[in-house]
Amino acid sequence: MEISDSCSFFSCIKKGWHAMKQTAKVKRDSKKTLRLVKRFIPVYLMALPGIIYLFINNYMPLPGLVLAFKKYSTKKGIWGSPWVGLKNFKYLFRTQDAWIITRNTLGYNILFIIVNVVMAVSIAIILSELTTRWKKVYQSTILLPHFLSTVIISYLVFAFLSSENGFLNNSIFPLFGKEQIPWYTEPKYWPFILVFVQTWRGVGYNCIVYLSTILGFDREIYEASAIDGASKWQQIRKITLPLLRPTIIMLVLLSVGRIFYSDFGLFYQVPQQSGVLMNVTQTIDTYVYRGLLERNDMPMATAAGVYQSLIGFILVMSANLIVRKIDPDSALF
Amino acid sequence: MKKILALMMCLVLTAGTLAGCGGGQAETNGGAAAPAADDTGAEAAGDEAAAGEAASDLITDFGGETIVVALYCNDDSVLGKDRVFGKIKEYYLDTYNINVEFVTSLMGDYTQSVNMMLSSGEQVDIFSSGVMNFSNTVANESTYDLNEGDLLNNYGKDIVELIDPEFLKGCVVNGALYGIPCMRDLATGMWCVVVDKEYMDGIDYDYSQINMEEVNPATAEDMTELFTQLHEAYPDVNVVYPWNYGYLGQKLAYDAIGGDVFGVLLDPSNSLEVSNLFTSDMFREYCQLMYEWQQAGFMSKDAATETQNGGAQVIAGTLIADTTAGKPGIVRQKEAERGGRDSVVFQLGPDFVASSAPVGAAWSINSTTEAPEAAMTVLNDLYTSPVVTNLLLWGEEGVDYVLTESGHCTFPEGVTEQTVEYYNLVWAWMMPCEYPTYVREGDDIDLWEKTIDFNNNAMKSKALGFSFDSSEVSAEYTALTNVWEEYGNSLVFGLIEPEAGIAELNERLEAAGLQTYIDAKKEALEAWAAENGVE
Repeated sequence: MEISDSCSFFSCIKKGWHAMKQTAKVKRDSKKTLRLVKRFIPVYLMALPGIIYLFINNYMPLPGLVLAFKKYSTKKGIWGSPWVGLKNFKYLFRTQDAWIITRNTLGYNILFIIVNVVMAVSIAIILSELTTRWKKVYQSTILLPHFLSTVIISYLVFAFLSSENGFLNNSIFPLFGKEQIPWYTEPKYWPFILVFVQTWRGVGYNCIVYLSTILGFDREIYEASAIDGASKWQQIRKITLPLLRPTIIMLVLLSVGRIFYSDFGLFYQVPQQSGVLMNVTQTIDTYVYRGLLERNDMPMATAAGVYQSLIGFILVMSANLIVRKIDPDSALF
Repeated sequence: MKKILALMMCLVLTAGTLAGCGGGQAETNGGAAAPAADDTGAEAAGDEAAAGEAASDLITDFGGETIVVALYCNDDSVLGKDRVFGKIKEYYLDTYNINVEFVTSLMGDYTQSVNMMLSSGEQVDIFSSGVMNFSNTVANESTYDLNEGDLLNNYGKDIVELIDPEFLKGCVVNGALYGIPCMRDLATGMWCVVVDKEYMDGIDYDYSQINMEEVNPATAEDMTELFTQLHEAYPDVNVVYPWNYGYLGQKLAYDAIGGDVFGVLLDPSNSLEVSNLFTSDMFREYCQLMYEWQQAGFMSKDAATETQNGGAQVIAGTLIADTTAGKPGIVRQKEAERGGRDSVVFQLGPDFVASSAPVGAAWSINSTTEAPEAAMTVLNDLYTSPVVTNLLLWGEEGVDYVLTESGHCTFPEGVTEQTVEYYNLVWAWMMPCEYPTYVREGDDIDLWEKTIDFNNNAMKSKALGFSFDSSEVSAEYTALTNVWEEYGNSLVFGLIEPEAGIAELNERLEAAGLQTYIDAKKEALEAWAAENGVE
């Protein structure tokens, strides 16, 4: 529920802010502004715990980023440790792996964003059109995988794919007289498997926001269009999707910001850490984890984090810039 | 009306959340306040002690100084933990007037939690730098030089007596002694195969040459022959699980100097030449053997993705044999791991002490400790006092254990492994030193003497005492580790054809900077050899 909460929360704040700005612009009446601020006090109060959490969790550790540029000594502490420039970043770009991990991280995430949006919007629309009383059951069933831990998911996948006892290799394929496939040593299948698993797991959660937005649309529009003879398909194309656009753009922008972070569990646990698959399953996070697991080198790990956030920041800003050029109303900021 | 209602709801909600936060905070503050108060007390006492130092040479009364020891353990939810720690505290208070406190974390969390304590400045005086990666801990300047002010000789007399200087040398970096080796089996019985006896009975194995209590020397050919028979008799059970690539060092007697496999000594007892393990005959032959075993159907096709350990697979009935590192008492230990099933152990390699063995689980004092003398005193008794070590391992005599007439340790009457309050918090090998402890019923009463002999008689690496700070070549290290992880399991489980696989692995390693890394190691080793007069 976090996303939907925070989204409605963001849009609430945004609306309040816009309203205030506009009113202030038109009237330039300080008393009026004051009254508006007063009016929104409950909203700010509601936001307060979130803001405090955000500050403690996301802003207070920021000074720790200097660690990425230092040679760490516990004796001298973070601030007293000597500077070493960009040395800690070197390992991220040193070898041919740098290309592979960047390609995998970006490629998979772009794929995930596209597939997730298409699937989540479709399912949300289908659910919103359903009138049966089983609707809630469907929705909960789709949502269920989201609550499974990745470790459990990795074993569900293993139960399907294992060579010795796997469901596919030992129960399904023999029925059709097909040869066994050694899934965990064949890299070519994994881009599909990973996208499938990620979508299966995430789609229920992602469609909640879309579904709640669709349910908030004014039913009168649909009734009016029905009177004019619009079919269901026309309604979806001409009414639902255009109205849904700002939400889609906002959610995509938010995921673009995390495009340089990969779902660690998905890429580390689900392939069962099979080395042969690394070409298609290694991402920045798993590379850093594997490389530093033994050494437990904090500055190098921090360097990877700094690099990821920096790229994420740049990507979000530029994506937002592009959106603002095309459609100013949909831009995040 | 609605608005007012909404406003009130908001206020109540917010207030509720804040109250929740506030309550939590107060609690943690309260928790933190207590040790803080102790600290000030200890400091004052420390000052007194310092004043006392001027009068006599060595401190004998530490004035209630607090020393925090970070233990790694097997099960830290043991019921009698606080009671037993209380007893240990009592001992230290009575003997030295030192207030010893323990913090425990599980093996898997240890590195992270101690790192957290070190970097946040929380008090921790004694910790195992070996478990946290010794060279990295030293590079982070987290360890205290035990030669400073002759600390070890003054306050760790018993340790000096206990530990062979050759092993102690293993913890010296640039002339400074940064830790004390964990005293347990430092040698490794290379390439041991543990076979479940039930299956061997099934093929009417001839036991006339077999010693059931100790390891039996054997060759790879013997094993292949045995496995062939076992496979014929039990085609549905996997014959052998040789563990993953991380355990290669338990099979081949190369010395992974500096703690990693990139640049090793292939003939460690005779030569200091740093070579590439992956182009060696030793490695190729091993991979070839594993490939043959895999082709013959001795190993699971899923071996590379196996996450259960060998013992669990044997208990589950899916496996006959796995591999291990040999040491005195290994047969009983493996049988215990396998739920008491009889086992036969073969050893295919020599007994060997690798250069990194002494630092492997070394214990150190924090470089920021305020009372190094007190910390050294505590550490001294953690290594050598029968009272402290037995409390830690077994708990209270009469309550958690009793001694049999033969001097073995067993549960008191009416108490079992399941009902005893203090048991298995740590295993003997997790303690700084296992030698002063009582031996478990079923083990040889002279188990520790045997272990000491085992260490002393084993083949030793010439580079014993060399440690390598890889921070200058960390970029290469990360890349190499990733390449090795990519190929390691496929090769050691014989899943890919060795000739082609090894060639490809070497190509990738070269591209990742293997030569640069080996050169850096070579240079460090030469400098170390010159400094220490090793030829």
